[in-house]
Amino acid sequence: MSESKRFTIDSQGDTLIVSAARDVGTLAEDELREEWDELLERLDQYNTKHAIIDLTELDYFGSIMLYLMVRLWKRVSAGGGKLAICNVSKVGEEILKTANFDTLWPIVSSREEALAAVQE
Amino acid sequence: MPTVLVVDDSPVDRRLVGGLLGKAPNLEVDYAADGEDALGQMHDNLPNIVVTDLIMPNMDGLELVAAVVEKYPLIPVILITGKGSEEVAVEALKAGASSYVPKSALSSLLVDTVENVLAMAQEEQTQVRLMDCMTGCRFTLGTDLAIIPALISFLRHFIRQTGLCDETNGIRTCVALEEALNNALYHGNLEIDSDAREGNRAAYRALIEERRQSEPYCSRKIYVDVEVSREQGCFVIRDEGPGFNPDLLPDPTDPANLEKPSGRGLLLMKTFMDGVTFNDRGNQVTLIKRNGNPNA
Repeated sequence: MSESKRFTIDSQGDTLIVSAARDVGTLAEDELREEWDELLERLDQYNTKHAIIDLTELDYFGSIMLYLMVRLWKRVSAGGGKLAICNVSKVGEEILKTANFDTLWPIVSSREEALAAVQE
Repeated sequence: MPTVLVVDDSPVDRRLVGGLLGKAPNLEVDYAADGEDALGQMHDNLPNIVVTDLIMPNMDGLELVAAVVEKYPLIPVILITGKGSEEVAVEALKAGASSYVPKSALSSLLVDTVENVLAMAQEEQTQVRLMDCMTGCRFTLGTDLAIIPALISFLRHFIRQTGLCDETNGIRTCVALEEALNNALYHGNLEIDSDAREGNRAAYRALIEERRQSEPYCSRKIYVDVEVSREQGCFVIRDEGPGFNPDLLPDPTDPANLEKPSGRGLLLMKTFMDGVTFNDRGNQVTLIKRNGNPNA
């Protein structure tokens, strides 16, 4: 398992799991982007194809987090993998649907479902 | 006169603690036999402070600390700990206890500790009552990037207190406000295009830092006016940048634009607010949130 200040990355089989900490919301936009990019730079050490973003700790997030999700999705897609989002709050799910991201990735209620979704 | 609720299952210890507190000229003392009894009494008659033993039947001191923190966050709790329970004391402080007093030092520390904690709690309670009277506020922000999350945290609390929104709608409102503030800072005052995010991370950060330090960007302010009642919240956010035409933003929900970095902030503002209007120059946005159920 590896950690940035606000994100934790772990892997299970061929799937990378990214979890956001509760205090992600206290980050300014540039700090958030910086921590996410540091995390992406370390992805190569994980020999994974798919990715899951676990949002258990987040009440909500904004457009910058949506943008960062897209960056991860593009990276995973480039290698033929899939992305799934799990444990999203009610408002978080509204945000993802508003952005139409539910058409891009499965949004599921547990990590187990997310692991299954990326393998489909 | 402040009331202290002393919680202890031992009548002897209750008398000891009550006796010490009773010597203070301005404290009134009530008693409860365990955590459950204490919560029952607090439901009917709220004390100003709770002093509780650790080990009790039904509900112990730690469980009582957690329950009081959740139900009555402004009421401080002091835990009385026995010999060798330093770890429990740390656990209690983490759970929200205001302080602890070792049993062996009751006679020398208890009254002073209660009076000190009471003084701090009364100041906090007065601040909360003052906040209840607040209907609006105004902020002038510079280019300190950390200020926006702090302001959002403040507004979330403020909106909740005014009764404008429940917790979920408060979060929705704050999502929209955060987007508007980030827009005013990054795109408005610092004139950083969304596409700049796509480039090199270090270059993006350097661009932000450079503009935060150089004219005309560094002198620009963001003006935030907030008026909130139970019925409606009105938030006006103005930056000193050149402005923009919101009609020219791409539709971020269009499949062709899903991967593009721009347009989602405005979409979230419009989704979570009842009204979003820009001035002609495009450097001021007015966001309106109405209470769907003002009589609730």
